[in-house]
Amino acid sequence: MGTLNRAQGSQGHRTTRRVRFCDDRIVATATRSPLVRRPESSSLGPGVAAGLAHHLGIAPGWIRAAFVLTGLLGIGVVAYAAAWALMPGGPANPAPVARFRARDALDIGAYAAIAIGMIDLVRLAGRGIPTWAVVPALLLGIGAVLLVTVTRRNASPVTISAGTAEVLSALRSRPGTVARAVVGGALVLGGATALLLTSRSWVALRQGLFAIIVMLAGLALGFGPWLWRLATDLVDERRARVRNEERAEMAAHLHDSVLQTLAMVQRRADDPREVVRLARRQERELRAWLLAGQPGGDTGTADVPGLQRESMGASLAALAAELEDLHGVPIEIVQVRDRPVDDRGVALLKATREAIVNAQRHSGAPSVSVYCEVGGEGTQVFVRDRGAGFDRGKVGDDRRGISESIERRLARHGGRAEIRSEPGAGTEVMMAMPFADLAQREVEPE
Amino acid sequence: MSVRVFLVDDHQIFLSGVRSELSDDLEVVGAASEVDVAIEMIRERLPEVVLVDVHMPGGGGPRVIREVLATNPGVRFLALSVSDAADDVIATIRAGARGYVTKSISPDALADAIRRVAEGDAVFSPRLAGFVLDTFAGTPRGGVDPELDQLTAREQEALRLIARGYSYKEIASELSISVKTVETHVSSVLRKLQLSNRHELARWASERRIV
Repeated sequence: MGTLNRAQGSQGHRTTRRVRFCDDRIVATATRSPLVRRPESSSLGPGVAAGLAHHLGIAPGWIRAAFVLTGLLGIGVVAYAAAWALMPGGPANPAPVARFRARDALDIGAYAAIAIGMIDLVRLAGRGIPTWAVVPALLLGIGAVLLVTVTRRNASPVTISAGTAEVLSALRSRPGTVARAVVGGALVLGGATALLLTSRSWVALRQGLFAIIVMLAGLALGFGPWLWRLATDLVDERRARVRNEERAEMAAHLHDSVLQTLAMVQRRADDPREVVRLARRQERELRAWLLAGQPGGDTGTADVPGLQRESMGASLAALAAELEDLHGVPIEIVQVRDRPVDDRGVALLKATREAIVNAQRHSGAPSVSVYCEVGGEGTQVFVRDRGAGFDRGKVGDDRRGISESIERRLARHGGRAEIRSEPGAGTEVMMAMPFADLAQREVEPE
Repeated sequence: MSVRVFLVDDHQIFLSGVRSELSDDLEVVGAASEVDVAIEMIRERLPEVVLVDVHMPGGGGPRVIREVLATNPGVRFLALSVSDAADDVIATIRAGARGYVTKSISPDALADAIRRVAEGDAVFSPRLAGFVLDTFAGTPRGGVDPELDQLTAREQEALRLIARGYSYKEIASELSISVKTVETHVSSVLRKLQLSNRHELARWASERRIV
């Protein structure tokens, strides 16, 4: 249903689709393209006709004409429903449409054909639907379809949840949609009224209502793919977000490990044995990390060698010892109260590591102070140096240390960071991580 | 006006090191590496500040402090330590030292600490500040004087900043108070540390290895 429009759609659409077909053929290795539905986003239709046409290699218009003709007899409706149910969904053809146009009239015609077909079917099945009820029921159904398309044409994956608000905003922003909504609403009201007025008895009314139910069943065919598409959009969106987060964690991990080692290698370039040692160490660490298959770079523990799950203080002390060895700048740790290290704690340790390394490498200060306090609501870590300090505005975006390894890493786990630096007076990085049960936001999907 | 300083440490290298570092306005009037000798010499030379090592054979720093203070209460002690042996540090403070710093302290900071102690103020290393915060965090245990068992909000803030590595001057500007007020807060904390009824102090400290 809703497919006539594509057969006689605008020239622009046709061109677009031909290009897509060419693309598909280049990509596909089989001589015949897979039998999938090819829904067009501007239309209600699930893309059955387009999919069949694409698969059989003939113009979609023929398929649609066949569906409409057989639909009027009833058989086409069954065939269409079966095809829709059996064909898997394929890629959507993007085609945004904003205004009420001749195309919409074609849409309505197609829906009417389907509706008539359904009523024919029911009549064939022996249930009586009086002729007088057909026209009002048709009007009602077409009106409802129009209203549905108002919502649908403006539905974007991100704002799906805001159904009503969306319809309202669409009404405000697009005059064509207003016309649609008004015509649709009038048809629904008129159809219902006509149905009530023309029914002369309770039995007749019941027959009329039955006609409406049949119409609604037709509508469900239109609604189904729409709801289904919304659901898949949601899944896609979540998947993309998870992928982005994984990517960010991976980047943070690489920054903390490989890039740091490369920096060390450059500084020790005159000492081949030291370079080999650094390279071997990094290789071991990277292998361990890859083999461990830890997708969560923030909470993976392969690159926190001194981690002791039972104590934040002990883990911090081990971290400081390792970094003193690596960079030669002493670190003084003050720990107030203690707690076991959970995943958030690991993320906090990694951010702390980055802050300490920054102080050791860039500040030029003779020592670094680390203060860690486990308070009533969470853990706070302060990393302070009395070195050169820096101007945040002058640090290039390509330097991921502060933004990626500290700020975003903490933010992904519900924490935050604050950096105070004055050129000449040193830098203090404050990092706070609330306890898990106090976090406002769960970051992990599901 | 130079401050007369006396050094007590059983490490000769450290003694000579400190001596060379503190030449400007601090006058080293003597040094000793044994407890009994140190007590004798301090009574004799009456320095303003004694730098005393926490760990020494023969009773260590605390014994030096106690015995000298019994006869000469005007002498002020600043404890120095390399290790994290908390019970020793606490014992030294409780014996009457006006402050505690680690041996990794920079020469400038050490000179600063000596002057401060000479003026009667207290000096806390970041670790000692952290330890005090840790110990005084709980509710008071119902001692003789509950006042002594609790830190005021301002005292806690000052200690927290010391623990974060801030100097007194930086603390003053951070809290918008005068340096003198910071010194008052820290001295008041020192008094509580010395007199508090929290007798589990040293045990907590050693259990947590954090001074």
